[in-house]
Amino acid sequence: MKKLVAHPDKCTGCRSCMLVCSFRHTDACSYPGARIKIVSDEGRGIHTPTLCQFCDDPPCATACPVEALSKDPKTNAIHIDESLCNGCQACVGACPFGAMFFDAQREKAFTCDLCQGDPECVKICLLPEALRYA
Amino acid sequence: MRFAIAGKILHVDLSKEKIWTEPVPEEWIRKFIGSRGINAKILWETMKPGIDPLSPENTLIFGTGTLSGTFAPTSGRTTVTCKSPTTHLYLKTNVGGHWGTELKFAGYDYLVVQGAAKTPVYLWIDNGKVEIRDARHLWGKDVRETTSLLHEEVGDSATQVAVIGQGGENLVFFAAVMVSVYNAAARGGAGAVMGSKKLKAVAVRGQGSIKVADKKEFYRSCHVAIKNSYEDATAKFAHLYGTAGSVPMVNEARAFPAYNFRRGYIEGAEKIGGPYLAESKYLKRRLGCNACIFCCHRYCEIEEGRFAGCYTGGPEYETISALGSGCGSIDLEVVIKANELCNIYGLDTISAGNLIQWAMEGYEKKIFTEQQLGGLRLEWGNGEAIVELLRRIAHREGLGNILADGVKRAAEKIGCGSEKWAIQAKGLEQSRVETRAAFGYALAFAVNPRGPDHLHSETIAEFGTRPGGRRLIKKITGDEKYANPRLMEKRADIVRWHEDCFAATDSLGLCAFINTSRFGVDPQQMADMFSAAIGRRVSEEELMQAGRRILTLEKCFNVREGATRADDVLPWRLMNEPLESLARGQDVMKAVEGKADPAEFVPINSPAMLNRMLDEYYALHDWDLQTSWPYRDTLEKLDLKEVIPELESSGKIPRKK
Amino acid sequence: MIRVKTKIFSQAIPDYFEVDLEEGSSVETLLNRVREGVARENRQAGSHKMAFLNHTHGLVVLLNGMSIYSLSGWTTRLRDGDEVSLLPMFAGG
Repeated sequence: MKKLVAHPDKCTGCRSCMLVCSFRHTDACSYPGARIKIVSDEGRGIHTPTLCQFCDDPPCATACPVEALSKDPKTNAIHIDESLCNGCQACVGACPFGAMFFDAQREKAFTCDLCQGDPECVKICLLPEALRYA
Repeated sequence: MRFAIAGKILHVDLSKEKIWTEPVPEEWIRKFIGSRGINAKILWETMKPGIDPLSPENTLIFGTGTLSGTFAPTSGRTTVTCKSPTTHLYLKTNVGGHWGTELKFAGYDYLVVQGAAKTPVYLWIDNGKVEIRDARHLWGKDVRETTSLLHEEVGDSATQVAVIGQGGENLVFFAAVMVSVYNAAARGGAGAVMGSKKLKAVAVRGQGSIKVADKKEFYRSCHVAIKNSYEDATAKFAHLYGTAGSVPMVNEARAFPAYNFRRGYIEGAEKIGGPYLAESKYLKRRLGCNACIFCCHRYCEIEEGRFAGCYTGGPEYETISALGSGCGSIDLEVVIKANELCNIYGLDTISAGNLIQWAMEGYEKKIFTEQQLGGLRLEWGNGEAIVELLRRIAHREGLGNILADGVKRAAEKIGCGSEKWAIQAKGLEQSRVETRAAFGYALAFAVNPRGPDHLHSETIAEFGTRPGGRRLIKKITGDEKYANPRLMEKRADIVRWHEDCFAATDSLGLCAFINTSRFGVDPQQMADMFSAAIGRRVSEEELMQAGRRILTLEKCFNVREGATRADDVLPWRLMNEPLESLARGQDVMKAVEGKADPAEFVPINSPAMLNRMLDEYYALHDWDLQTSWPYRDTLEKLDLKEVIPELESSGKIPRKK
Repeated sequence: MIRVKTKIFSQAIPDYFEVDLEEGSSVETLLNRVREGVARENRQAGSHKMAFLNHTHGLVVLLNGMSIYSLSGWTTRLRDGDEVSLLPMFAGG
């Protein structure tokens, strides 16, 4: 099974990943719509990708009171059944990486779904290679 | 919601303490594309000729790219436009980082600042909400410290900040506006204009979004551009070594300015070059501007020795030459430390280095008094002196106060023949290209509305060192043989194509490195991305025509301010002294006396040679040869009728003979 | 015989070679002579340099500061005292 791994020491802070991720998953480019977030200390040149770690025993799924979260057998990403998700945000609090996000307008949780096995962010990070899918 | 743009111009009048918005006219996008182009239009409309650039009458404009806020590769660039305090002419200065995209996500494509505050203020743009806030507690603090304090004050460390340091506060004529800490809108003194308005910073938080008209086509066209960019021969080196990677090659080409443009070569230049920096203990990170796929920026730290504790973005090629070889130094630590000071004080490294070199040459020639020097020993290569002098410039102390007015005024004030080694034209210090070894650059520098530098049209292709460049020269001129920087033929055609392309690139918000520094992306691909974003078909011709219109409008601003052909010159040294390191074996006296055959390469930008290229260039533009001013029908054909009445009433529309 | 100074930028700090050639030798002949010299060197140190010298399309070749593509390319004739620099392709400003 392929894994999407971030290499923070290679991250340049360009945010191309955030822009293309939000484009892919919503109707527009934005930072809030992205399922990968870059956290920056610009003064020290440190940029850190925050994204789902695809835990084997995901705390987000355990925390969900309506069992809306499961692992996608094809990609190993978290699958959120939106018909069950009630917007309680327990999963958001449970994620130790801060990588579960909440769409306040639609009242649904969302996180990286690996773009069904062809992650957009990796395709736009080919020189820094801060995101690798292998 | 409109496509590609947020749709609003944010106006702030600091004298009247008024804030208001207006929609971005659709017509302006069609004619001027965005960013640099629309900035130029706003500058033309809001300014009267002849005003003092450091008065409240100057307009300071921040313009985002029409493609900014999308993942179009390298689309995160922003233009800052105003009248320059150093040239009293048109100034646009371009910057990367992430501030522009944040402004767009906050709901504004343009910020237009007029008037001046009575006491220091900053603007806080929190998504739709805009406030003018007290900044007296921030005045006197450097760029990095101010950014941190603002993060704390607004309670969000993801806030993007455009800020001036002591340089801008003290009205240094080459003060920069800094964004995302280390990214500089550097050239021409926009930081001083911001300082004259007592505007310390513009802090922005944007959580909105940008939509494109045709998602599928936008994705396709962006990925074509991304793929072509990655396949360019130099893409990987751009990431690995940055612009600093150019140093060894330019030095070997004898075109690397050293010792205040006395030489085009310095022994050991590789020690301040990109590959050496990449292997050194100093380079800690590679960084990238918003939406960039090359990520060519550097971040360095010095952990031991005399500059222990230094940490900064950079150095770029220009900085390395300005604060290294230009000063007779190949000391990488000095370059990095000097870069840090320029970044945190908010100074243009190119001009700062130029002033220090001028002062070093003056010191060699003993033109300064002991009082002016204040203990400084300005020998070539003295790193401690460079560092100390930068501090004095930013704070206008002693000799620093004279240098802070730019090299033209410094030379006028000190005299002693120092005008001859003031490397400036129009009042702006020349950037780090040896134009005596590259005639396309020479022409481009002479006609650049803001002064002699490479960011109006950088003609890298003319060096003939890369297949993509040779292909481009063939496309423009019909023959690869014109990919030769020591020819005068076809330079006008080459410069004019590059000007159009640059203007379109800047106005879309794309980085200049995407198409004339790497050769993967061409205007057709840019037009494709633009079309898909805004939902209207724009051809390559229309895009390049818009580029032409933009730079013609910029020219008209200068015409209105009183500029003529006489201003399209190069620095005295480059027009009168042949380049030493190439002069070996050349008949130098013939060159100086103007008796050399123009077909024969001589390493000098003589008046005869420059005039020949200018004649061709103005003729191509359909501008009057004597004055350099555009004819009436030239402006009409370009759909720039709006400038005609004012130019005509001040007698600045030339008659066709 | 002519003597040509060669500077090779396969690494950050360049290597210098002085090469003796027949009168009227071309830049291509010079490159071959340099390759022969590097091949005779210590193998480990030489392999990176050899890869660099073999990647002809990725090389910037300057003769007295001028790109050979602005002259007669690889067939450009050399003279005594000429300086040839071999660099990887970079760009920027």
